[in-house]
Amino acid sequence: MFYTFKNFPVRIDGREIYATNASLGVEASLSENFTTESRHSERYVPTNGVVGSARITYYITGADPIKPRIYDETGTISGYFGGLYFNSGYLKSYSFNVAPHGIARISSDIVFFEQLKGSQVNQSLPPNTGYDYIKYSDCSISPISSYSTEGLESIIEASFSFSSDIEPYYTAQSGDASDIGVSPSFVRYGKKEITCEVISDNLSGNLPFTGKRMGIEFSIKKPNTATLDTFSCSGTMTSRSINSSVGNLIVSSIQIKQSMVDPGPAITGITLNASAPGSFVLISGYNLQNPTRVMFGDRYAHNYYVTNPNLISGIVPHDAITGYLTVETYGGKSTSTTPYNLSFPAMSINAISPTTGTSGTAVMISGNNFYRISHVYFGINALGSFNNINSGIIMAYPPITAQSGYIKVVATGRNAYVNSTIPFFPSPIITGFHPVTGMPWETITISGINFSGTVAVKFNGINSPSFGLVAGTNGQRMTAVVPTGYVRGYIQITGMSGVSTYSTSNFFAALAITGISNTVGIPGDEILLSGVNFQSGVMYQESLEFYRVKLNNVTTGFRWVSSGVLSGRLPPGFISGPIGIMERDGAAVYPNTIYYTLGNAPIAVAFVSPNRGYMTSNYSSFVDGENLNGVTGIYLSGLDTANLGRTYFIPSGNIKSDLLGKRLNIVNYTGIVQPTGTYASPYTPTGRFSVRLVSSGYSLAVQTRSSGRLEIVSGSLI
Amino acid sequence: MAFFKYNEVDVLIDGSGVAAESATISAENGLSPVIILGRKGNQGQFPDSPFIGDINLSYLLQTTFDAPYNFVNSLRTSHQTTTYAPHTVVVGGITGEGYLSNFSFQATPNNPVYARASYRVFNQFSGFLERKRGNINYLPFGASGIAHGYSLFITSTGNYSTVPTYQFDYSFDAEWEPVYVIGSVFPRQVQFMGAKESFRLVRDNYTGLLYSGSYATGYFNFGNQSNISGIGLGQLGTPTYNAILVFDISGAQVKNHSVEVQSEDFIRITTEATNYY
Repeated sequence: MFYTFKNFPVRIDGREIYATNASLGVEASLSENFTTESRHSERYVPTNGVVGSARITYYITGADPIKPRIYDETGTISGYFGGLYFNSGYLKSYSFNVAPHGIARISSDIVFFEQLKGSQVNQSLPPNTGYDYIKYSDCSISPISSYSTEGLESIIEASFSFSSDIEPYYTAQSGDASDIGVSPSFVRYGKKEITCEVISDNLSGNLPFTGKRMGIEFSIKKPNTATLDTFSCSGTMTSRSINSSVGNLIVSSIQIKQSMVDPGPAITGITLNASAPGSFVLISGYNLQNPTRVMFGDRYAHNYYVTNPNLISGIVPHDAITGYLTVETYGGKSTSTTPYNLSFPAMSINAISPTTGTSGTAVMISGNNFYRISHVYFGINALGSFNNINSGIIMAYPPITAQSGYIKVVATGRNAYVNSTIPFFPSPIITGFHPVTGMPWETITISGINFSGTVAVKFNGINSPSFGLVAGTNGQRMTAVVPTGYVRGYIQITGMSGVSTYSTSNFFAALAITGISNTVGIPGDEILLSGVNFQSGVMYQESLEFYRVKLNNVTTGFRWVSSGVLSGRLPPGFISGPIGIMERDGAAVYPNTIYYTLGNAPIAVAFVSPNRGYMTSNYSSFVDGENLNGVTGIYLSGLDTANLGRTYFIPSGNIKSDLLGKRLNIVNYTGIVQPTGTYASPYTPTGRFSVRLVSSGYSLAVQTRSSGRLEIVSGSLI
Repeated sequence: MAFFKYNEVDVLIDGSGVAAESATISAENGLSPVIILGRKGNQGQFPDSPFIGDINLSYLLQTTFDAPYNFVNSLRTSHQTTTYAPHTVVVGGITGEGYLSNFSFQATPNNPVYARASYRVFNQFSGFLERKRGNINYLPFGASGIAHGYSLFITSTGNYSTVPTYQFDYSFDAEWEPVYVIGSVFPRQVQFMGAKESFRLVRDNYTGLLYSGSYATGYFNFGNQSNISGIGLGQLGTPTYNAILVFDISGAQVKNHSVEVQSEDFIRITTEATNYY
């Protein structure tokens, strides 16, 4: 009689399986037995035991009862198929395909090494609509984050496949008496592997020849429930391909193979014998064999030992902080449900070296328990960079905003910090100042770095009477008052440690002429210059009390009266123009806008040459005296050779004065008319003539005497 | 429970009124029974395939604006390789985001043209039954905007001529591929995979059919009109060629040519050309 599928309930290990397909089979390993001279054989002899297989395709409503057999190799599987049963089953393969729609359906293959027992039973169970079958649309598939996630984002299809080699071993007379040789003495598991194929939209041909570590996890869920079960494949990507065909999407296929199949680990407890890093720890749980990593928070444990699948012993990493413990195996990952708590030994700083320096200087901080260092401060909010060399040494680099004071080392993860007992003094650096010249008591601004802790500012070695940091500039700007004295030179800043720095350019002290007693005068007139910063170090010193003043074309010494007054006289030879005080090195004259005008000085005559005789044609002579450079004309009166009185005017074009106005030369004057007739004999010593010099506002007439003396006719003599 | 009459229902495509003669919305989920070994009957019905919806419209074709025609034209000029946006189709307040899967009509002399448009919907419908809102103008140009078989014409390099045909059938069929990712119920994206366009003219002119095919532009000659670029529809009366629907036949090849004679009828020669996108 034929029965239908309704009469074929399936149970595995006593639990109903919601199978859509099931097939059972047994196969004997028989071989013909030929003897010599016989081409036929009537005998078949067994060459191995009977192998049975049960293949089932089934739906799942929650956690799959067969799936644990992937990892659990203890015991055998019992199967019941419509009355036929076996008890020596071993899971040989297990697979399913994941698609966006549809009900989750598993295919498994169980081998058994015995005859099927029982017989078909006419039985049928009523419908059971109380099960909520797992739908793929409620499940999720995601990459395992600790591996490469490339190409595992938009997955439209996936497959999961497990296979295991099952090898029966027979010994003589193994099995029961009624069926000798059917049952193996023992069964060994051979190679196990899990392979996954993932179809997604990632188009890449990136595959290193060593493969790439990848892993995916498929989670079984129902709507609005937690994960019921997971299937993971974490191993190596062994191949990938890209496929495109007309009428279809471009898809990428990735194959992942996991050759070490373990059940997922579970942590059930953590025992610390002390609460500090470096302590001994016991991790208890399940399936802890073959861990790939053990982590205390974000720190790997490098010292651990697997005592057995339920216990791992190890040392808490020295730089661990309180957190959750994670054990990862090939079967998956387990994280403790409660955190472990640690207490930490205090940090200490024994020394810093050097104790001064600029930004970028490597400062070695020596101490203890330098773990999880997160910040090193050189002052308030002055965060430096650092390298935590080991638990006893930190190499830190001050920022440009570093301030004088203690260095603070912080370990945020441990909620701890420590200050150095020795202060650090950042070395200041001057990058510029403004203005570059200044008067005493004026304020200039100095720019640079590390000005906090400045104890002195000097201008060419002279202390500034006042200085200070500019707020809000992180010690990169300060002001200083220009002192009195010769302050031309480098600006020096000295820090608390005694380290000082100099500006790269000079500061120029300035003086100023603010007033003059008179702006018009003649040589010899007294002049008073008033101004600011008439300092000996600023002005060019001619002698003990006299400083050089340049009056346009001439220089002379003015006597120092006070820091605001110089006194002197207008030197002869001065031509109207600006006046100024010569700077100390003689290279410059402090500019001013004072213009001194030479006044009209009285003419004085000391000597006339010739001073006797007759006027002759082409008359030339010279006159010595003072202030002659203002002479604009000369009247020459006297007797000609005919003893007739004549007066000639010699214009300025025939008058040449030296620069100092001390000599006039009368040249090329041809205006003298010689009388006709007979000349007298060479001039008589008694002849005389008069010379009258005319200048603006002055007129001097002198008359020569036979004795050679000059006689003033009008005007004045020196 | 509300009963609406046909004249109380809005039919819209992308917010524009459609002078529909009929409109249907259908939806189907992929429920399949679970039947297992050892138990009688089915153990429940569960979705085994994606949700599919369809909206079918039959409406008066207007020459001034037609959403399906506009989509076909845009596809002809710009075949995107990325996704297309769906069209919002509303029937009586029920709204679906649909992709044009079919557009067709038949133009015969002395008859207005009724078009059929079908949209495939991959997401669930939204909205609820409601009366028309009364702010839609279904015939903005009145009767003079309706396409009429009397005004069938051909275009040739910018010239327009009426043609002696008994019937003009046009159809457009598009294939859309929804992409579902694991864990999602509705598609993450919908890809346009291809389309087929068919032109079918019934005339009294026999030309023959070549094994290697002939381009429709040179095949359909009407008297002295050759190298025809398009077949179009205008309104009843003198067509104004600035309010027309022109169907470009360039690229289409003649695929089918038949002759039919029936008693008490004229001899009819049917020619069909197809184009693919």
